[in-house]
Amino acid sequence: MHLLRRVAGHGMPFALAVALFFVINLVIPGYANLNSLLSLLLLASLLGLAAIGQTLTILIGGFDMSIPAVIGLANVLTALLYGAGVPIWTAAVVIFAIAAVIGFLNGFAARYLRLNPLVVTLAMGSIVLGAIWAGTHGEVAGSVPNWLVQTVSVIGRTGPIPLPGVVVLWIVVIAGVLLLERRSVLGRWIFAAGANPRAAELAGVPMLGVWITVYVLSAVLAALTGILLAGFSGAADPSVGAPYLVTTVAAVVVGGTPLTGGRGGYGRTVAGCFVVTELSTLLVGLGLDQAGQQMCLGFLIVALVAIYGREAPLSLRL
Amino acid sequence: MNRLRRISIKAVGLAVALGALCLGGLALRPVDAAVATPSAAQQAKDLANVPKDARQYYEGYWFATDRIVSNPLADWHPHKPPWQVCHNDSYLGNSWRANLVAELRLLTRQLAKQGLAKPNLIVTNSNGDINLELSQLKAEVAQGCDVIMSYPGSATGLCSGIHDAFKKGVLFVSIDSIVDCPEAINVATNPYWRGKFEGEWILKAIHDKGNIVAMNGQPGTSNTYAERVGLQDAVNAADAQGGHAKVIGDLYGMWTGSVAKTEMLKFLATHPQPVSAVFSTGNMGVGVGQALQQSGRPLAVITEVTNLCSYLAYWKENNLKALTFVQDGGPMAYSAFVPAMHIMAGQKPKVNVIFMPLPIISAQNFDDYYEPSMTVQSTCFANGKDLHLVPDSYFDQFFTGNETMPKIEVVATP
Repeated sequence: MHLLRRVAGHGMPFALAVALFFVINLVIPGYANLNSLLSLLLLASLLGLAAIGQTLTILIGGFDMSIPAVIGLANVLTALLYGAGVPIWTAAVVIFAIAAVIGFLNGFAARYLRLNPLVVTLAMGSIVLGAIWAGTHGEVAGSVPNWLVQTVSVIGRTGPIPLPGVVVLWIVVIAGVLLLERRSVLGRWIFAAGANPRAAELAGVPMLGVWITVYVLSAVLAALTGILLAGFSGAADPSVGAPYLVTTVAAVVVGGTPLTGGRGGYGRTVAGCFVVTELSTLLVGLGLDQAGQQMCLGFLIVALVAIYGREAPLSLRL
Repeated sequence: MNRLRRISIKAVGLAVALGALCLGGLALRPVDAAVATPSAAQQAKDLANVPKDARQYYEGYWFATDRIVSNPLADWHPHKPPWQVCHNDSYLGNSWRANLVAELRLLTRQLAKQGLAKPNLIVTNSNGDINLELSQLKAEVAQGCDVIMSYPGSATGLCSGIHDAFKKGVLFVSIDSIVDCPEAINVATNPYWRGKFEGEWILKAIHDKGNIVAMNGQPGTSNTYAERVGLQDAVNAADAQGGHAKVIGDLYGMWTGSVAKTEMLKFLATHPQPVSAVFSTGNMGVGVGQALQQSGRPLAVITEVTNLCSYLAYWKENNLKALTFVQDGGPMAYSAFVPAMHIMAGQKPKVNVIFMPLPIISAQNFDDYYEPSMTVQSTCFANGKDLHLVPDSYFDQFFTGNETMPKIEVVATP
């Protein structure tokens, strides 16, 4: 019975992801082919990388609404710097450094200055997008290396592995994040900070350090997504991150990590990424237009929150 | 056990509600939204003052504007030079808009050299906030602008400001995006005409049979809707003549390459049937083509609306069967500036909406626009040697009066 409860409570997003895959196969004849599966994996991996930061910030009781802007910034800088002759790895280091500063400011303002993380990160996103426009005056030129395009191509391969590089990268990152969550001190601090901030502080958890580290991680991983998206589209666009505002939150919520923090984890978000990508693929397959897709995705979020997101924060239940 | 039951009930409820919503959503098709076609008498009245040679570009005008006003500035008189030229924009975040502003600056300097304008162009940018754009427009009127060029963010949101401008003798000219305000002069291409033209070209290219995917811009915008209706009307007309082409999918790429590619990948994953052509409506052709290639599909016929260098490079690399319009922001700004100068010189416009055709890039004249330096990452626009979208004389037919116009010339933007 205990196992059944666990499956019903924790396994639902995974079950939903598998069920949706079979539903798509049933509803859309011919869906089950290698290219379709690779497309699903590729789109889910881009979302998955962007959603890591959202998961971790929600786990500590925050939010990161600056993810789309940081994705846009990294996307533009990748093309600009590489196009100007800067080696791609040097460009990546510069971009990650800038992202880390943005993350630091987010974490510092949200924790040390006790500002609402939703407002802080929204404002930071606005500042970043404004900076892109001020810096480029809308003229976003540049180029990206061909191998980066192949890394984010459905037909790309990773050496002998018949998977696009971004999917392999995601698998490695999933393992890394799960290890961080479950086997590291920082992971335990993250859950403690989100479950009961006061208790965690009294227990000696360095709250400011945890918040800053999580927001830095979030920004750096958003920047990584932005770099990969430069390869995906082959060009730079400041608004490339816009779809990831709703979908990263949706992936976290659909995966079953409560917005109150302290519980859940990235494993669930991985399932949420598959559900969100599969659902939108199914809706496209059914011929729904954008409005219909948005309605269904919004409804799914509300319905799933109704099912497993209504529990009180852990701190109130201890 | 109770918890399990509760979860089961909720899950069933979720499934039923989702299904109902999705079925409801299926009923919503992009071309089903109702825009009433004016009666023949109303159309005749609306088009009465449109020059005969230009009427071919006004087909389906009602998808773009509520009404066409005859002699909109009959009792209005421009200020005397030197004029303060201003630009009121809803968004300056892409190279198309940047080129538009750069061209307006250069044109203003040309006027200044003739002693007809102050040398600086005043520019405002509301970044998508229509209320802010309206207040910026009112501020521009208050600070002494004599001509306000604009790329508005709403068809009706600026009307009170435009009315204020009109009363104070300030000319308001909308560039490439129509406002339904009777005192505004609009210079644009007709989105319905564009969609129908592209649709007819596609049908010819696929010999009236095959599957077409529509990669639309942004849902809910009149331009996107009008273009899509134009395509559908072309398909319906071919169907009535015994054709067998159909639109099998409506996707929205938000005029962003990565979004278009994502949507196309999802579509191809769920639609095993062959795709003969893609009707793409701006900045999405490369993403669409890459999605087809990466899904192991043959490249389809692809039409575009903008002449991005990246699209031409992709076209060249893959020997596409393709078509696109030429409409960079710079030349478009110039095209709107010419009618503005007609009016500032004292001539009277016959109508408030001036529709113009656009040059076409096809296989026949591809080499006139393509340059080997273009790559799929290029962000420039392939304008060719002649930067005029239409000859300046095209606009003469829209005006009465013989007042001498200032001398201006279209300039390549940096």
